[in-house]
Amino acid sequence: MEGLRVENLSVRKGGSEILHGISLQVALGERVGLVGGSGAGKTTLLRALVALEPDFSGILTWRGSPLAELGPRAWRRTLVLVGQRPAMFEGTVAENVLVAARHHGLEVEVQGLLRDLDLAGAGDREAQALSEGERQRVALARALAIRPAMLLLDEPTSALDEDRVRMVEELLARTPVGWILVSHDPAQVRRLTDRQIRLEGGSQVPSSNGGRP
Amino acid sequence: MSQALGSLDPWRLGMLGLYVGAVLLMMFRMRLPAAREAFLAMLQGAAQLAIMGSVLLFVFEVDHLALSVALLTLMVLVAAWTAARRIDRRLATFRFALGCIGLATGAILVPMALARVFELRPNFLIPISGMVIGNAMNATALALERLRSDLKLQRDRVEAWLSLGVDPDTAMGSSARSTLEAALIPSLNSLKTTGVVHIPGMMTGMLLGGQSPMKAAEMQLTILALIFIAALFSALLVTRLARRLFFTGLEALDLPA
Repeated sequence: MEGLRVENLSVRKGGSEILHGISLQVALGERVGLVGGSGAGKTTLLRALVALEPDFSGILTWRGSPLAELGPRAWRRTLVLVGQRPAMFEGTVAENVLVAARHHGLEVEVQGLLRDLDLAGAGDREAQALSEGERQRVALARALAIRPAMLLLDEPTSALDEDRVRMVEELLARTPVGWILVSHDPAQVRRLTDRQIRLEGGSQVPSSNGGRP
Repeated sequence: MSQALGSLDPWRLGMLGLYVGAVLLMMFRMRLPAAREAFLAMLQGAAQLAIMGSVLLFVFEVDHLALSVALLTLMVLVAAWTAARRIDRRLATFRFALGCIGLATGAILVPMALARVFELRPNFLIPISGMVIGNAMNATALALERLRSDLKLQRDRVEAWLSLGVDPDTAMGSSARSTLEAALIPSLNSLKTTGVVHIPGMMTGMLLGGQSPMKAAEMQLTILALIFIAALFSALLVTRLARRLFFTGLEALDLPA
C-alpha cells in the first residue's frame, strides 16, 4: 500500500542547491535504509521529508495526500524525525516523553516505553542533564509516544553501547511502523531495512533493481 | 516664523557650539576611535533637530489634525525602517516592524486621544506620540533581535518540538517569554528610577519652560505609563506574530542570516 511518495525533491541552502531532484517511494510499513558518504545529503533529505528545510521544492505525498493538504503538523505527527543529537525539553524524562503526546490528546503508558529503552529508573531525572546516549533513547520514546506511521531515524544508536543498540533494534523490530534509517553502520542498515537508497553528492544513485536486495 | 526664529538665543547656541567644538577637537587629538563618528553624529543630530524644529513650527502654525496625522504616519514609517534594519533589509521585516509599531502606537494613542487624556492640538499630540512611537520602535527592535538570537541558539529545541507535530507558537514558547522580559527591562528600569536617579526629558523641558513641578510630574507620569504600555504592546506583538517572520508557510524555522 502506498505510503510516502517523493517526486523531484530539491533543497537549496545559502543560494546553492544541495539536494537534486530526489524521487522515491516507501510503502506503508516498509523499512528503507538511506546510505551514502559523509556530506551526501542524508540528514538534509530526512529534514526535507518533514518540511524542516525552509527552501525546498518537489512533491511530497502521504497515502496520496499532498503535504500542503495535510498541513505540516499532521504531516509531522505521521512521519516523525528522530535526530542524531536530539534536544531535550525542560523538565523530567517522563515529561519529555509525555509532553507532545499530551499536546495531541494521546494517552501514553510512559513506564512501559521507558522500560523498553532501559530508562525505567530515569523518569524523574532532569532530561537536559542526560548523556547523549540517554537523550537518543528519550527522543525515540518521545517519537513513539505520538504513534507515528513512519519514523525517520538519523543515526538513532550512534551514542549507544552494543547491548543498548540491540535493545533499541529489538524495540524497533516489534513496533508496527515503517522507517527510513540513516546509520553509519552498514550491518545495522542490513539488519533493520528491506532495501537501501544511495545518495552521492546530493543526488540519488540509480539502482538497477529499485534498491531492492 | 521669523518671530519664532527670533526666540533662539545666539549666545547660548554660540557657547554650546564652542564647547562642543573643543570636546570634538580633544577627541581628534586623543585619536579616539569614535571621534569621526561623534563629529558626524553631532552634525546629523543638529541638522535633524533644525529640520524637525522647522517642520513642527509649520505644523503648529497650520494647526490641522490631518497634517499632524500625516507627520505621525511618517514618524511610524521611519521608526519601522529603523527597527527593521537592525535585523536585515528584507521588505518582510519592514512590514512586520511597521505592523507591530503601528498597531502598538494606534492602540495607545487612539483611545487616549478619544478620552481627551491629552489635547488634539499638534503641540501636545506630536511630542507625546513621538515618545510613544520611539519607545515602540526600541521595544520592537530589541524584541526582534532578542527573539532571533534566542531562536538561533535554541534551533535544535524548536525543531525538536516541530518534529513532533507541534505548532510554532508552542515550539518557541520559552524564547518568546524571555524576549518579552528582555524587551520590557529598559522601560521598567526607567519607571523605577525616574525622579530618583534622573529627571526625565519631558519633565526637564517643562521645568525649563517655567511650568510648575507638579504639573510637570503629572505629565511625565502620563508619558512614562504610555511608553511602558508602548513597549509592552510592541514586544507582545513581536512575540505573538513572530511565526510570520521566522517560520515558513510550512512551519519550518527560517531565520534571516
